[in-house]
This record gives sequence, C-alpha cells and structure tokens, in this order.
Amino acid sequence: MNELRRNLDLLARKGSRYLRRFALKGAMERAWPLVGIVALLFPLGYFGYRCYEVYEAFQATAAGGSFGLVSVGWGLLWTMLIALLIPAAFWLLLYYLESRRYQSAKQSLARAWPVVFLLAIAFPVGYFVSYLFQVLGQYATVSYGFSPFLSLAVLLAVVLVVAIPLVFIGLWAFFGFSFGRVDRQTSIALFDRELGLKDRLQSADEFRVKEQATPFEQAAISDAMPHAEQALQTRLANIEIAKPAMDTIKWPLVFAAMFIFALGLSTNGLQFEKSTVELAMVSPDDHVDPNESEEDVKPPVFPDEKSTEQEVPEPDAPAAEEQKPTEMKKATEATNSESSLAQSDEAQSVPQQTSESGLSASASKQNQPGQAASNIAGLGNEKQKKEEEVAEKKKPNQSKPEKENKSKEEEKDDSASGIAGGKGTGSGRQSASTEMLEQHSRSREDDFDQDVDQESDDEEDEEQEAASAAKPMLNQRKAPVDRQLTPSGVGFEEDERANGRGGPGGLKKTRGVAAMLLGVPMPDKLRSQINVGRIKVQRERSIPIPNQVQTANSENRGQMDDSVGTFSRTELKPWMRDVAKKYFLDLRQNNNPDN
Amino acid sequence: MADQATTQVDSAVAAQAGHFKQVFHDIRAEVQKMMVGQTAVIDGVLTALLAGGHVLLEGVPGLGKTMIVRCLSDAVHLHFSRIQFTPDMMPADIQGTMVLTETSGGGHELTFQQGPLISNLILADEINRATPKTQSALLEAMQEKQVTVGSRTIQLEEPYCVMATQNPVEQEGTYPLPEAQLDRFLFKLIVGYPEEHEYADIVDRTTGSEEVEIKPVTDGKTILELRDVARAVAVPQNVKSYAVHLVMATQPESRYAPESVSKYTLLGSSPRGVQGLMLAGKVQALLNDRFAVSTDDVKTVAHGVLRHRLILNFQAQATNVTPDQLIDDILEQVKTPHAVN
Repeated sequence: MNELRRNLDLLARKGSRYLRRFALKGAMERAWPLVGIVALLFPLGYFGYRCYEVYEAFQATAAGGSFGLVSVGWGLLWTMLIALLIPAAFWLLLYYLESRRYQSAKQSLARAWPVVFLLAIAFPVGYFVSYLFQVLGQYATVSYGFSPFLSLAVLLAVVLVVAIPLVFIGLWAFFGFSFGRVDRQTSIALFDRELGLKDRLQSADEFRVKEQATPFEQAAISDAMPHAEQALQTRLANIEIAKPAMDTIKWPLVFAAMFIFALGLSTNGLQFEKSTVELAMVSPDDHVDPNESEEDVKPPVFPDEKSTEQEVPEPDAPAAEEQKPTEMKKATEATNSESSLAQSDEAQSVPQQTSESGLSASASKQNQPGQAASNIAGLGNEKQKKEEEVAEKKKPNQSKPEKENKSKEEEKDDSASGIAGGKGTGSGRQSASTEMLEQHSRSREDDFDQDVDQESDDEEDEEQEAASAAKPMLNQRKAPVDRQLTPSGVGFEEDERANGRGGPGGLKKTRGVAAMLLGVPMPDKLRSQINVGRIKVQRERSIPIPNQVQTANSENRGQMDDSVGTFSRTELKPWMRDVAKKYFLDLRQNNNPDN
Repeated sequence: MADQATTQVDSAVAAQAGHFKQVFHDIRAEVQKMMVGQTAVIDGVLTALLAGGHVLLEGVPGLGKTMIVRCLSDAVHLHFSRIQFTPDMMPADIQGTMVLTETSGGGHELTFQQGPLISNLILADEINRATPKTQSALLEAMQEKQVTVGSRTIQLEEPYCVMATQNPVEQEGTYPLPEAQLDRFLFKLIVGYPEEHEYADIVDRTTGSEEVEIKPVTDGKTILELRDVARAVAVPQNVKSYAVHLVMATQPESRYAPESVSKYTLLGSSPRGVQGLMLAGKVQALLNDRFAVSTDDVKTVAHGVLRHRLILNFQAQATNVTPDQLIDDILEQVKTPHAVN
C-alpha cells in the first residue's frame, strides 16, 4: 500500500511536469475574465476623481457663487450610465434566461451581442472623438490640421487598451506556467489515458485513502500496483492538450470600451475644471440687460471656429480671436484655483499681438457666463445658423432684401463673436450654458416637428395612392343594407309613388342574403321552458375497507410448448349439447331439497 | 499479516470475477451454437440478464430476435414463457385471471389462473402490437417484480427478465411503447443484418439435417450469485460524475447538453439512465478483468442504455436524426473528469 502511495505521488509530480502547458492553459482561462476587471480599474478611478472634483466645486461655490451641474459633467454622467447600464441590463437578461433555461432565447440573445456591444461602445467613443476634436481646435493656433496631440492621444488609447489586457494575460500566463501545478488527479489521469490503463491509477488513488475499502476496492488497488510501477518508467510523448477556451471575450470588450471613453474624458479634464470655476464666480450683479433683444445677443465662439476664421482674413477678427485664450486664462487666474493657475501660466506664454487684448480681458471679466458657455457648449453657433435657416424656410413670404440684410448681420455677428460673446445669451441670472442647451433642444424640436409633418404628409399620399391604385373599387362600393332593407346612404328620401318593389322612383327592397341575416328583427315564436335550476349533488363520504391479500408464489409449471393466452374450445354437436343440458338439469333437480 | 489478508481478499474477489466471466462466456458459447454473428446483441442480452435488467430488441423480421431469447432460456435453464402480443390481447391474458373451476365434490369455485407473465424469462414478442393498456400490464412486473390482479399480489421469482422484441418497420396496427415502459428497459439493442460471411453458416445450421442442441450451462441460482458479484464492483467518483454528466447531457436545456440535443430532443433520460450505465458498466468491468468501473466501460454501454431514453421531437424525425447520432455528439462533447484534451 505504501509502495503504491509512493508511486502515485511520484506519478503526480511527473504528470505535473508533463502538464505545464495544461497549467498555462488553465491560467489563461482563469485570467481572461479578469482582464475586464483590470481594464475597468482606470475608468472607475477616473470617475471617482471626477466626482471628487464636482464635490469640491460645489463646496467652493457654497459661499455665494452659482453652480451649474450642466457645465460640470452631465455628459460624463450620462456616458457613464449608458456604458454601464446597457451591458448590465443585457447580462441581467441573459442571467435570467440562464436561470429559466430558455436555451433558444439565450442563444438568440448571444447572437445579438455584437449589436449590443456596438450600442454600448458607440456613445463613449463618439464622446471621446468629439472631445479630441475640441482639444485639437484648442491647440490649433499653432498649426491647424493633423495635430501631433491627436495622434498621440489616439496612439496612447489604442496602446493602453490593447496592451494592458495583453500584458496582464502575459504576466498571469508566465506565472501560471512557471509556478502553476495541475491537481493530482489530473496528473494521474494523464498516465491512465496515455498508457490505456482504463482509470486503474485514478481508482486506486481514490480507494487508497478510504478507511474501510470493500473487497473489490482492495482488489482494484492491488490491480493498480504493477501498472503504477510501469507508468513510472514510461516517458510520455506528444501529449494532446485542448486549446484554451477563452470564450468570455465579451467582458474585456465592454470594459475596453469604457476605458476608451475614460481616456477620452481625461484629455478634457482641465477644460471641465475651468468652466466649473467660471460658473462659480458668477455674481448676482453680473446680470445681462433684460431689455436686450434676442437678436442682439451674440453667439459664443469656439476654438475651432476661431481657427477657421483665421484662414479668412478680416480686419478686426484675428486680433479678437487670438485674444480669447488669454482672456480665459486670466479669468481663471482670478479664481485662485490651482489648476487654473497652471493654465494661466500657459496663457501668459501666448504672445499678445494686438492692443485690444486688454479691452477683451476686461470684457471677459465682466461677462464671464458667456465665455463659459463658449467653452462648454460645442458647435452652438452652427446650430443657431441652422435654426435660422430652418426659420427662413418656414417663412416663404419673407422678402429677399430682408434675407440679405440678415445674412450680413450674421457675418458681423460671427466676426465679432469673440468679444461680444461676453455679453451673455440669457436674460437675468440664467447662465449662458443653459441658454445654449435650450437653443439646442429648440432646434432639435423644430427639426423633429418638420420631420413629423413631412412623414405624415408622405403617409397620407401613400394611403391615397394605395386607395386609388391597389383598391380601385373600394371607394365605389355600395354601403351595406340597413335594418330597413334599404341601402344606407342612398335614396333616403323615398318617392311617394314608390311601392317598395322597384316601382317608380323608389329603390327596390332587397330579397337577397340580407333578408336572411339576423339583423332583420324576427319575432320569437318559440316558448321556452322554465329552467329546472341548479342540480344538487350530494356527496357521501365512504371509508375504504381494507382487504386481506394473500400472496401466492409462482409454481413450477414445467416447460410449455404452445403459446398461452387463448383457451381452445371444441365446438359441441347438437346431440352432445342436449346430453350435457339434460345432465345438468337432472343434477340440479336431484340436488334440489324440495324434491 | 495485513498483506496476507489483503492477498486472500484479492484472490477471493479474483475468483468471483473469474467465475463471472467464465459463466458469461459459457452462456455466450451455447447461444452461439445456434446464433450466427450478432455478438454485440448476445453480449448485450447477457449483460442485461446479469445486471438484472430487461432488454428491448429491435430489428426487422427474420434476424433472429426471438431465437436469441429462446436459446438463452435453454442455456440458462430458467422458466421461460413466450407471449405473442396481438392488438386484441388484454392485461388478464398475460397477468392471469380468475376462472371458474370444478371442485372434487362436484362444486365450482373461482381460482386464479396465472398468466405467462409469471415466469423467469419472458419473451414479449412484438410487444408494440399490443395496446397501451396491455403493455402497461408489464410495468409493475418489470419494476417491482410482482403482479397484482384484483386483490392478489404475486411476487415474481428471481431472476426475472423481460426480453421484448419489436419491429421498427411495420407501423400498421402497432402502438409505440409509452415512455414509462421504455424507461424500464435497461438496454435497447438494435439487431442488424448479418455479415456476408455469416450467411453461409446460417444456411448450414438452419437448413441442414443436423440438429443443434443447446445445453443448460447455469441456473437461476447462479445467475443471482453473479448479479451480486456484479453489484459489488467498485465505482470511483470520476466515473460516477461522468455517468451523471452523460445522462444530464441527454436532457435538453441542461448545462451539459450539446446543441444538437437541445435542438432535437423532446425528453431526456431519467435517473434510471444513470442506474443503467452503472450496472452495465460493472458487468463490462468484470468482463475486462477489472475490479472497478472505468469511464470507458460507461462509454461502451452508453448507446444501449441511452438510445431508448431519448425522445426526439418532430424536427429530428423530419431531418432523420437518430438517437445514436445524438449520443455520439454527447460522447464527444462531454469530457471525462480530469481530462486534459
């Protein structure tokens, strides 16, 4: 027994060495789901950091400043929610189906997974790309076009997203390969399989540790001893090991998507912070003139637009636009925030090219909400243009000269937006950012209304076409016959001379199928019987009486030659029947006590 | 001292296992005096007899299904009765009924006339020709080894084995066996056509003047002893797990079921399937000179044990998917415990 134990121990160690590749496979299979968790660490950490910043900004403005969550990170929150909720809901549904064993539904959902994954990743990636372009515009004062920063960010994102999981798996696999050991039973099972021992070694190893082994278990142990010694002296070659089953590829992909999203947000960290602080510095005195009309409000200018206008030389615009970063940095400087200090240092390095910089700086200090809006809401000016174009389309009676005048005004507004944006777009204490969002939503609603109107018109046209072409006789069909046996809607006013049978003037009453319908009132000629009422059912409870059952053992009946089941009966002749009848009648008569 | 005791135990167990194998081969040799070929079917029938199960033989007419059972009954010297199932047969025809008999004094009394079901070895020929009502009369006898008629319960004598045959081709006037009835059979064996070289032997043995005599080589008592030996065979945990996984893999929507099973199966195996795999696997282990069941033994008997427990759906019947194909899928998909490939 001890010898067998020693041999099996040696076999287990030997098998473990053979199965290093198997340990590597197991390590990779175990590591693969964790890749998703590793990829999740960064987004979660960043999310926590952003929440802390929001909290700090809120605390800083508690003394009297205003605080707008919109400027701080609704986009961040929504993106985070969407990226988390869609996969979470999907996996909850899958879990539910798994528990209910709806195999077919589960398989169809699994097939739909790529679509769900695309849904989950679309918004974060779009968010990321939009911010990258904003960053590109912000830094495009030096060279517009393909920015080195953009390529670096994208490269960094791709490298991190791909490299972190791979490095993680590689490290895990390395340690699994170096230090991992397969379990004892697997090692022994390897020799059973390779040497064709029919599980003898596994069985012996299991029965060996039993306290009270049955005779057959002891015999199995003894049977395995020579095979164990033989296995120790055998060198295995060409061991087949299955490929790693890393079918949980869905999880890392989801978290990789979130990682991309988080990386995209991280490039915009300073911008968020700046806008938060600027909003916090709004005081009740900095309100905009309520009498100012909406047309006088100048839309804010964005960095990319500013750079666009650099290509089109205008007399005053370049100076004002180049001044804008300096204004922002100075305004930020006034908030005593550490991060804004860092940015103001950068801003001071920007050369001040025109003498109007001081004026613009003071203007920005007085009209910070507008500036903040220009930093936050993207593409607002273009949206406003589109909105006005839609409005023009809605007003076909507007004269041409008016349009020309308006377009000229727009050009002026665009050229002066860098300075005049500081006036603010809202009235009273309404922040510029919220005003811009409202404009976005208004323009979207208008677009949506237009689309809906157009769709409804199209549907009506299609219905008319279908009614006239596909069903040509539908409109000409006569109305059904009413209860008075006259076609409804036709000939309501009967001629006085009409006789009801197609006489002069009147319509002939139908005697067709309609007369046989139940719609025609008919007197009931049948007299019904009175219902006997509900039938009462009385139930009596009876107690079952147990019967004594006698068991009978089967008896030896000997070998049967013929099939059993039918009993042959010979057909009696008439005289034999008479004899038998007479015999039984006599027998009955003799046994009768009365006789 | 301990080693000596172990050696004695081993030798006793080895003797039992050797006797088991010897009797098995003797019976097979006697049956093969008459039967040509069909070795797998004969082994399956003998395995079921020694494992304490019942067998359903399926094959087209003329392949020797009835002959196998008749030869077996002659070889094992058991009480044998044959029931030819017909559509008008009633349960009383096979279980027995009360008949009016004449007493010695000239009077009459009702006595129980036992049916052909009360025997040791039952040949239920063309069982699917009987109505479900009559087929159901076998349920109690096959599972509880007793027959109840009215208020009388008759314990059937062991060894008790029902060997039923059915014809898969003739569907006119036949009644498919209910699932409860199918589940009670340990094996469903498919009797196929003989090989080319076997036809000459068949002709010689059946059309010649020489009569083949089958001698009894064992009896009911020995069969019961061998059943106890088979039940004592050890089963390691990995084999139990593997058998359970195989049976669960036949159940659609289970975690081990291959896609083909979920797609084509209406009903999977019951726990009787695991019992069948274990019992038949033990017999296989003894026949292969081993004292513990291996996963290979379970694989060997998987087709016979599981094929009639898989109830296929209409889609499978429409696409000609057979239970054997699904069992092949299961054996391929379900890995043995601690396997590395």
